[in-house]
Amino acid sequence: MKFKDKNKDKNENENKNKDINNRVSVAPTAKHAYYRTTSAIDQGAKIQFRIGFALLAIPLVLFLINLFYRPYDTSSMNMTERFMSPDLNHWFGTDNYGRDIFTRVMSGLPLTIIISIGINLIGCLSGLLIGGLSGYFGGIVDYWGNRISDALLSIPAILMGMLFVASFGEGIRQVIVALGIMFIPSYMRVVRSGFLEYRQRNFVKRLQLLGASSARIIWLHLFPQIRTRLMSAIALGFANAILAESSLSFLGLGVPLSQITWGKMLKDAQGFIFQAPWSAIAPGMMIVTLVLGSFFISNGLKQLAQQRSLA
Amino acid sequence: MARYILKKAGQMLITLLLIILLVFIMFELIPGNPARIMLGMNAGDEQVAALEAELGINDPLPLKIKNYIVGLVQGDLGRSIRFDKPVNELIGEAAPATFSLAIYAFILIVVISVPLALLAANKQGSILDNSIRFITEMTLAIPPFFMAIILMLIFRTTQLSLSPGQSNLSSAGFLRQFLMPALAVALSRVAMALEFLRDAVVGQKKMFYTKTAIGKGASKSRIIFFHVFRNSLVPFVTVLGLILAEVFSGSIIIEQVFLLPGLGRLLVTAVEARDFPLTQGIIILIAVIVIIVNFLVDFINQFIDPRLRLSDVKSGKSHFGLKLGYKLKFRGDAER
Amino acid sequence: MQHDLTKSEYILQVEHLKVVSAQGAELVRDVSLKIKPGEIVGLVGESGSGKSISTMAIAGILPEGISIAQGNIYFNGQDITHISTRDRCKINGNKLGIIYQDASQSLNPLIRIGKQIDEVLKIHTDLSPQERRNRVYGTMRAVNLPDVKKLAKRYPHELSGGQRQRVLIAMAIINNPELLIADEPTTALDVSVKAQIIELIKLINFSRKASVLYISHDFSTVKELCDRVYVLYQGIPVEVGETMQITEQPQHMYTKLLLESIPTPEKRGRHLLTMKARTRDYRGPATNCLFADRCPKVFERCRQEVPDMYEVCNGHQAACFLFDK
Repeated sequence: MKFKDKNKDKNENENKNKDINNRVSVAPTAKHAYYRTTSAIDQGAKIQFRIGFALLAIPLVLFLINLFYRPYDTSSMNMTERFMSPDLNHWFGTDNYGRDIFTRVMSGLPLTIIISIGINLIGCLSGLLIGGLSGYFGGIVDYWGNRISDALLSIPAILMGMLFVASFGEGIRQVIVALGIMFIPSYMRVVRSGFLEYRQRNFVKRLQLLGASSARIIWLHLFPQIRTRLMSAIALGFANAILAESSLSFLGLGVPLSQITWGKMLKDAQGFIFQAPWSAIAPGMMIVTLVLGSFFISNGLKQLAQQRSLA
Repeated sequence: MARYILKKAGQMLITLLLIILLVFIMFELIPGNPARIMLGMNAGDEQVAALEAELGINDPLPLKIKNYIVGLVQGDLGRSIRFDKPVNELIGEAAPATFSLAIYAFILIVVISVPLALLAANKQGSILDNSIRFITEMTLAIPPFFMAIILMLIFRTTQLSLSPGQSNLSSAGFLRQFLMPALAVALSRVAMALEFLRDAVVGQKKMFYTKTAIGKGASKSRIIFFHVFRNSLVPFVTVLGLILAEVFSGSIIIEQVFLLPGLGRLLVTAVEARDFPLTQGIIILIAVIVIIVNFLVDFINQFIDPRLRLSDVKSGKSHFGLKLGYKLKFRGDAER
Repeated sequence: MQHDLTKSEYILQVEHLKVVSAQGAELVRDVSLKIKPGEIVGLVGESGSGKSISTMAIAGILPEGISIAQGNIYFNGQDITHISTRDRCKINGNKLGIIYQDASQSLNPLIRIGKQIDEVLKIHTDLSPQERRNRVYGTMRAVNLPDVKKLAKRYPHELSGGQRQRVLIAMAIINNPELLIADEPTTALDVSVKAQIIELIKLINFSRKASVLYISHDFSTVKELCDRVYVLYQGIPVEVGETMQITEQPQHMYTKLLLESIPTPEKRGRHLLTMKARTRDYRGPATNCLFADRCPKVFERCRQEVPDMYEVCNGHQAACFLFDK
């Protein structure tokens, strides 16, 4: 009798294990869904990616050209060539000091990109940490996480940048830290809502029953689920960082005067907007191109993420 | 309901405290003596000491915060260093320009986005829908100050003298005068509002109750306005609350472009002069406005959607943006 | 010409209705049905048999991309197949009441119950608010809703499933329609509530003289409620007859097997007869008997021709070559 019972137990356990294995393998990992037949949504995402990368390629190609073909200095003035409209010598024309706008616009690109990457690095890593903790553990962690995010969200990002500049003076580092802090809540929300959603799923409960540690569940099982969403948020954050940084530069705060940024070029151009509209349009269009490209990529990723969460 | 309001008000206060804390910690972290930084290198030691005493710089942080909050409750935000005037007086002078610009822009956002969103959602997937969405996506990528420059170029070259230049708030042509700056602030945010409303309407149109309405014999316009639009309002109102914060920051920048004597100009001056009490005052004012608006948004949403009232009180969970309304479970009583 | 004859005789007459999706799949292949005044007609079939799509076509609420390709629908002798939206609005809710399957999703969650019922009156009548209110309360009482004045001020999520279904029924009957379409009104409900709703529909049929088109996959409720039954299989009616004829002496093999598979007390201890599983949903045009693959009595002819409706005995018809004399 006893023996029989034991046997039965064993069988049951085996069945349970099988069940667990099945469920775990059925968990909708990103890879799983990726190899499914391409649907209409996939097609839509593909188009978005193409447009996005094409837009991002424009400033990049111009930048590469500028690396090899750079007949003008960024800051040397040439009073005989003031307000030249765009032609073959000056692709984007010249400004009030006769400086070549093409060269200046292109030399502003690396700084913009470095600042945006820095901002998103801070925002994303802290957002991942805070959002992950509050999403996974809930309770009081979640409550205070939410309050901090509420507090940060109620200060416009540019004001935070100004506060930092007022306190610590101008500088690239200040801009990165200030805006990086302001970008935490958006990442936090993405991670938190993703974790909240998947934490309830059966495959996580099974893993907990199996004795998997929280760190293991978070890193190996929850994080992959939100990876696409997070990438979409990063693309969006990149766009928003460019917008915020250029706004600060436009106000003449933030990046020190010696550096060229598009926001500052626009601010300068505003003074002679009707004599030389190109001097405003060139840096403005650069911002728009980069931002729009990031938007498209973000939207494409969002579509993929939505489709996968349905899978 | 009363309990819910109290709870929300409590959360509001916590958020406000956190903001004040943040601003003060920033103060603490300033390298060197803030008073000396404010006064510049030429100031004498007595001057620095006097300012230190006035600002209470050597007080411990909790005391500073306590003093500030007591002042805040009494409507006293301290004294500006740069202008040597009470901060609230300065804000009182500058606020009307910013507020009227922000409100004007906000109204423009609603007026532009609602009809366009309904148009787009009505013919979902059509050329009209796609072009509306594409164009607004474009405007989302244009920062407000660049939009202002584009508008300047457009309006000037078409001989429409809409630029306010040195504006005068009491003038009767306010709407005409402020149209261009308000548009510059509004256009880049229209896309956000529009997208949310359109998606909500498209989602609601698929809901089964629209079929019930057709079964009742309701006309198309009745279904859209009486049922679908109303049910799409919760996410829309929520996103409008978020947009308001951005409208404020947009207004601050646009003031620079059009040289409007508003909070933005004041803030830039304050930052450049390192006038901490003034900077602090303006930032906290705007944060308070944003917090209050979000509180109102919650309140309005409860008014629109009865399910939110129930779940919030019952579950005791704060409702996080717009997610809740659509994942609610229905409470079923036992059949009597 | 023929329709003039039937004008007075039938409330609803559907002739050779064919509904296709945008991709060309035939969701309803060839449905003809007739409903006499005062009659309760059942439409039975498994999921995907096209019963819901047929009723959607009748009520004019086909989803986007699905359209009527052939056939006519006459309501009170009036051709409503491709009727304009404006005319459709005059019929729906007025002469044609519709009850939906899922009551929890069929009510607008943000509007009070009373107002939602009142909307029907607002659209179709020009009564004063006072008269409308009285009629709303009256109808709510007629569908056995308790405490109507309080209930009218409630929101849908505060009601139970059965109450919500009653509210939907109240909406459908408030204008005394000539035809009531009930699309599986009992699927989402408990057994006891189910019986109450069935009784209520019977009562409405009796007291308000409304014909009823009752759609269900559940033979037990159909047996309870209907005068005549149409059995649908893959978008084609395979058997038509009085309820007694169909349930007691089913002729078509599909109906037989369907009835055999219902567990009853008499079948206790025996294996239930089950059908061969459907291999795949065939959505192209019919070229042979669609049930041939699953029919135990299949013979050569079944795989070559499409059967017509053959008369078994008075009024009882089956689409099977076994009855082709």
